[in-house]
Amino acid sequence: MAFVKFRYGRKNVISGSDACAIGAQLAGVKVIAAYPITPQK
Amino acid sequence: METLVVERLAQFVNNGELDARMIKVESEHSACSAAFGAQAAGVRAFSATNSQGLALMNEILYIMSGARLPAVFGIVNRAMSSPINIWCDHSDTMGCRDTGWIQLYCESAQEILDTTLQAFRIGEHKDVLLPVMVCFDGFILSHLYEPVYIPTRTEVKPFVGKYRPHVKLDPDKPVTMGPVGMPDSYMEFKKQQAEAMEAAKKVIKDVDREFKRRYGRGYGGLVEKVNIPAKTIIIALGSVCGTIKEVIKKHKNIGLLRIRSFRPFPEKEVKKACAKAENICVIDRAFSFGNHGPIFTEVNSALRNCNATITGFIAGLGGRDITPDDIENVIKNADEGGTLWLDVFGKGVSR
Repeated sequence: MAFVKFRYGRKNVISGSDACAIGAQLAGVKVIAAYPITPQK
Repeated sequence: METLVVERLAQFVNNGELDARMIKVESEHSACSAAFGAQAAGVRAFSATNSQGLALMNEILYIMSGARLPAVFGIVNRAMSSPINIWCDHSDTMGCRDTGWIQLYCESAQEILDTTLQAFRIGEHKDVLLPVMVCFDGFILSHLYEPVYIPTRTEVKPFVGKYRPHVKLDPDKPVTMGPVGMPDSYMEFKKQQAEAMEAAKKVIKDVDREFKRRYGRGYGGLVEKVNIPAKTIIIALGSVCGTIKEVIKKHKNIGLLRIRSFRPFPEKEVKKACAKAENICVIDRAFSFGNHGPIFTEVNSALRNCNATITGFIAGLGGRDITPDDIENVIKNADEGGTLWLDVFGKGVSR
């Protein structure tokens, strides 16, 4: 999790946007549909 | 701003940390349509948007809830143009409160993560089958870095479970999805949708209770109560509730009722919490032109037989801060009644 700024005890310091994305990731979403175009290799 | 959410998900997909497909499209209307198609095909679909982007999705929002497809979207609350403004208020989601989506509002980054997990359980529940918006304040929450406990996938798995769609598009088992609802059947569809939204109240409470049992964090289900009963109760939603909690520590007999679920609206919980209050202050970060703030209107309806004075406060539009002084002004004007505007044209309070 390279985006984690630093750790605070057992917690990771992240933004609300990261928190939302992680929630979706942990829930195992299979499709993410998005605009605007996001950077991707 | 929602870009940050999907950028992060794009990274997860790219790094092999999430087995999912990123569908990049040319507009939010298309993003919502693609999520609709994916959900109809039987998988969990997600998107994130806000403001004008959410407005552009509007047509498909109705179609998705009507088709009873339980997608989950992260909505980063932002003002509507014009004038152009990219900062926080709730005009975007309040503008689509009748689209048939469940709307859950968060106060912290931890609650955003936890509510996103809960949202899948709520929307996919057999008694609900409705899409869910996880709403959080633009910049104030979307860009704020906070310590958050991130559960592991192993910890989360038994709670979220595997998605088992009630119906899906499958060439081997053809079904009709999205048929015409003629006048002899359309109302029955809508009545069932209304019943599902009503059933969601219990499911939201149950899911939050189970979440608390498993992980030790709960958010009160439909509403969070702080220092209730009280003579004066402030009703609000979103990040401003953190400020209110700090301010009311200095006061006696002032409580906070944080609305977590705006749709379905917790009418019974509002009635119960406000039963003994003399003054109710409702803070709206949005305005329904020609009427009042949306939460104020809902609270008035819920408390129609109540003797308390209900005062609405319009505050924090377009990213204007709602400061502790503003909350003190709310408390000072708690018995005014009607709708007041906070911190506008250089005045603390004006009608």
